[in-house]
Amino acid sequence: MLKAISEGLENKTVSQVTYYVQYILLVALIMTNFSEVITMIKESIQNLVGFSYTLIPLLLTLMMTTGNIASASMIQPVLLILITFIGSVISNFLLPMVLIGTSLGIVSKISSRIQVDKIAKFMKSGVVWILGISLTLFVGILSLEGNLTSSVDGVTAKTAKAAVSTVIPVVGKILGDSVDAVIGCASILKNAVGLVGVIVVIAICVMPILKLTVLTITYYLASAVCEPIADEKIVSLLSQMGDTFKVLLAMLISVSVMLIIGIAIVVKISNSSLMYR
Amino acid sequence: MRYKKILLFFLIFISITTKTFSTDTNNAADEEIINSQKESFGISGFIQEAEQYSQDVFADINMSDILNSAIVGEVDNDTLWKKIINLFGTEVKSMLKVLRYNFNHHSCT
Repeated sequence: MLKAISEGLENKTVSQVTYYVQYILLVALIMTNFSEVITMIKESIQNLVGFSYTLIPLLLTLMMTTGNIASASMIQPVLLILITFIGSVISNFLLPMVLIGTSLGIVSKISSRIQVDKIAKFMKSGVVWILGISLTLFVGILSLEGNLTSSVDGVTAKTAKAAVSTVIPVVGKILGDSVDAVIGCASILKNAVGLVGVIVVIAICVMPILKLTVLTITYYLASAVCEPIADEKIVSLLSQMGDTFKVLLAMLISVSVMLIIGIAIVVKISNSSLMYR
Repeated sequence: MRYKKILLFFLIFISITTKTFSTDTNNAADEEIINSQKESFGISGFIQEAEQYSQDVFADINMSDILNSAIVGEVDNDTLWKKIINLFGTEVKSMLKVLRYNFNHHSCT
């Protein structure tokens, strides 16, 4: 309809000005939605990092109780540093990059004279690459360090138990069994805390992820429906906004998956050292 | 023969009751150890914090119950799935409402 109005005007300059006004109106509508989404993602990432500050020290303390002292002391700094670093990179670097990329994409669609579409695409693909690399590094470092130390912890604890059982006369075996019971209970508690942690991470992320999924589908659907009737640039704008929401969705899913994998690895490392007993 | 039967029955009875008693005692001891560990590690504080973060989405799910069920190994996944699917349904509904409103609005103009 808007296209028909623009084309119906006989004066070309007036028609062009009308088109710009329509385009800006549409962009303003989209941007209201977009700024809400950005705020929501920022809040979610802050909540995730904040919650991990509560969860990780507790999980690592429980790990120490189960005898994984070397693993806990090795993992703690790496885990906290990586989570803080990745959270800050996303909030302070990747989100602004997505914003700049989207703005450039919108600007390049206003007129055929200004073309900065390639920079916008480069920024979006850069964000995806950085996310992928951070996720790989996080999982790689954490699992490598954990696997290295879990066997050391397992063997140390087994030796300690054997020493207590044989060296201490009469009550040595009972003492060893009691230590085993305490360690087993701590392990159960640690696994349960890990599970609660995973559920809370899901609770923090699920709403923004669902919202972004629905928004992405809606924008793609809108661009597909509008293609036969609307202006090419507006269709392209809608499709580009769908791409932007897809990148934001990838960002949030990566952070939440990273935290869930982190929790799972911490729980798994201390469980695997128990196998040595 | 009769005495032998009685003796055999008595032995079986003793072995079963002793085993049951010992399992119960072990469970009770484990529960006691876990409860004392909960207190000493400040798990209640952690649960409170967890509820603060999750109350927007899982308002009627008690994190303390989830922790206890995880300790026993009987976590109710179905409730969580249902909650997530309900949220997705609500989001889709609200988006359809917006689309319908926009469509009606534009067709009127």
